[in-house]
Amino acid sequence: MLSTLKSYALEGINGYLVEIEVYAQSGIPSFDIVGLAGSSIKESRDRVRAAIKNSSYEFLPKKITVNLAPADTKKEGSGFDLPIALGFLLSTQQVVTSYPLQEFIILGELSLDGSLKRLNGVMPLIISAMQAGYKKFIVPKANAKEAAYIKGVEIYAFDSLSDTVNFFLGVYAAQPVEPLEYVQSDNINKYAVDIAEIKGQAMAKRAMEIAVSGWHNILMSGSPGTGKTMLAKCVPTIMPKMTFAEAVEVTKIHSVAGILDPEEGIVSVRPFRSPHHTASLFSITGGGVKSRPGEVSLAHNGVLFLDEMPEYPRQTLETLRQPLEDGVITVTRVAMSVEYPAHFMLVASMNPCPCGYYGSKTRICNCSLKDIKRYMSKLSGPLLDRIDLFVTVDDIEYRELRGNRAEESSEQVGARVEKAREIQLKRFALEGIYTNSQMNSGLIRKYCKIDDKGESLLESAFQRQRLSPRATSRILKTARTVADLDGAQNISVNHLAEAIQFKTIEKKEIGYSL
Amino acid sequence: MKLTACHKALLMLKNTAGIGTVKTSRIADVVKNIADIYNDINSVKAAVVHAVGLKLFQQLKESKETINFDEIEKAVNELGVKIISICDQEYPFLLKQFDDKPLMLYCKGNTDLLRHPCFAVVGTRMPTSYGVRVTKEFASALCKRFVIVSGMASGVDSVAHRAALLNGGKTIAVLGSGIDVVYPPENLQLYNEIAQKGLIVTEYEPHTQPAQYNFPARNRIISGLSRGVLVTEAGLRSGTMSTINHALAQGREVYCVPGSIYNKASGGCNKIIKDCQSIAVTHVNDIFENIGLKPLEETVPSPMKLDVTEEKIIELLKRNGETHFEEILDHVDLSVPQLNSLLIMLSARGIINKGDNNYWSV
Repeated sequence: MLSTLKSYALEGINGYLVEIEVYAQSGIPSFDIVGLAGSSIKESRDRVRAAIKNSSYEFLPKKITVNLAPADTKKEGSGFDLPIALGFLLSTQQVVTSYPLQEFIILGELSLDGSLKRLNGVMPLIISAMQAGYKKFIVPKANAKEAAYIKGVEIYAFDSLSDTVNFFLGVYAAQPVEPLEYVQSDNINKYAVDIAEIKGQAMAKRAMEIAVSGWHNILMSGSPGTGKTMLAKCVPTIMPKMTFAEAVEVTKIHSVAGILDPEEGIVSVRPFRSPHHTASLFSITGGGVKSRPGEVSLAHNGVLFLDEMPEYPRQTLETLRQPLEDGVITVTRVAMSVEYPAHFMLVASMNPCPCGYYGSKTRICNCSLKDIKRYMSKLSGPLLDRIDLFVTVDDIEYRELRGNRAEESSEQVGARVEKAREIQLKRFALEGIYTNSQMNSGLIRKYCKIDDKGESLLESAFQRQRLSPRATSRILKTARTVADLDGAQNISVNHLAEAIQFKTIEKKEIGYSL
Repeated sequence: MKLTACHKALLMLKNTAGIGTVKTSRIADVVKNIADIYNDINSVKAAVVHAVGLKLFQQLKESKETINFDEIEKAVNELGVKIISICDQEYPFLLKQFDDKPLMLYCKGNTDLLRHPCFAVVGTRMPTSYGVRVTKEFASALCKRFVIVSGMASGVDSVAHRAALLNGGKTIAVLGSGIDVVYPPENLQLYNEIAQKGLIVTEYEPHTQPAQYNFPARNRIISGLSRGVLVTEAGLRSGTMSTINHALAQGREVYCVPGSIYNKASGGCNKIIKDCQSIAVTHVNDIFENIGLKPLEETVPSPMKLDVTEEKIIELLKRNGETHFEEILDHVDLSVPQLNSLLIMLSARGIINKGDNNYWSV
């Protein structure tokens, strides 16, 4: 007898419908899975057999064929265990029900004892299926929290195969999972540092505040030990809270990557990713045989921190160009081409030269000019062009001299950031973006109007620093953020001046510029 | 141009291992006509052997066969280079005065500049913003009275050349490589500009690649050509120290711009001031007065419209010199963004400058 059930499989961070047909006939006993099943699905045969026996059903000696349609797409993942087992029980007529099983999307991995285990990527699967019009879902209980944040669907979460069967038989009356309300979390990274702990560094702090407010990319340069990493660690403490829409985007990616905390169910804190410079190219971009999102996507709506940026392989840095510009990364492999969102804020740090003391007032730099140029050339022009704020982190000596100005706490700075972000959310409510840094040229024309005085200042900067058109539009976006921080409706010449000054790279042409 | 017998004789002397500039002078003292070395070396055998010994004489004699004079002549003509040797009338008088003088100069550009009074402006290849600023200021003033001589290296040298060209002055670049080899390569544009508006000089044959030991040797020509040498910024172990030593050995006056005692980049300058080997100068008129020239008239800056806070900042910067952003912040009643944009606006008006590491100066 033939039975057909519906399930969903992942492609990138989206899902597609997979129909699971199970046909049991008399003949030499066998169990075959066809339809380009990956190795984790092939192995499900053994899990299903044990789970059925341990749930006190019979694994009848029949010739069983399982087909995963569409048959020409390669499938991966362990989420088909449950529908295959259910299909087996239906087709061998151990379970007979008039329940409309076709309405359900069934997801679940089986343990040998018949219980259901947690799956990766449940939230993106449900969202995709919901968009395709499906309303009822069966998921493992361990995924219930993650699924409960999606509204307008009926989610049934079960512990085991027998519970699921009993539900369909009407023996076990289960209620759909209670939807959960999204709560913006106050939790921050446990390694985070309060900004008040950094003394001095007014310029660097100001640059960081602007960067976080408008989600602009920032590059810090300074001698070793001046506090670049510490400043980066402050970023999580002043980041604005995530909206629900942003949180869902992040959760989808984290769920696919399998790093979602099942206790939380949703990512409510902006991610802060800091891959080491030995990280491989594919771990940064995503991809590989099983196509997993990389660090750039895991940092979506959060921060990607590259400490000692010139130490990263050139190739790795260059791959950041597409996501930095478009906010997505397209990973193409033999089997498929997948697009992962990657709208992150780049926070990078570097030394001014290999020894770290070029331009220092207290130490001699003993690098040759050639060394410095080689070091600087790791960061290509196109990459630097995509960075909005350059800031020098001051040498330690001055900080010892400075007066006792009170330092602002992360809370105070964060409140300003939050305010600037609210202005942006309101402005872009109908544009489908969240931050100033996401504006395209049309939106820049619309929202970044400058007066004649500003125009002439920009013109002179354009001439003097030989800015590219992209750099100019990035300056305008930063200026918009500066104005938002000021609570101003229009970008004044002062706002623009600050944006230009942070876009200027010092020592770019080490000495021989005139 | 055609290579004269004298040029060929000098090429033989240059290409004989063991005969350097000093022994050449010794030979030149005893041989009446240097061209004879090429024309008929046996006629001057007695004198040469007396000066440098028989072995070197033999080598000198053999060198005539090994040198490809035609090839050098061809290269010289193709590159549009003029040779000025110690036999020539045009050879700069000041350079002639010391033993270690270069035998031949390959010149590209306006050779008349060699007859003008010259002044060397040299310094580190990795200047701080202070060094760049000092060099610009002094070179643009000095080029009103002198031809600026420097080495076309990166850093201070390039800044000096550019400042002279920018202010309508003349400049001579002395290379440590062949006349057609641009080093460092990024100075190609500068090289072309100097060849067009100034003069490029080297003692090395065409196609010679730059070698480490060429540069200290070329430094003696920089100081030798000049009435004085100005060092704008140099660390203790800078190559500029070799120029200073040559200048002192040649009896040239060395002028130094002092730097902060905390700034290691000025360590070399401060040391030679401390050792009384140079004259410390803080204004270009100090140099002119020392030489006995009329000082330049100061241009009075036109009064600017400034508000109270701006006055206060400029007052502070004038008093402190280079001042850190946070120190300024301590002195004014402004927030970080306010002060930041104010400083930018002032620098856009050309009133103040931004240095490295968030330092500002008037």
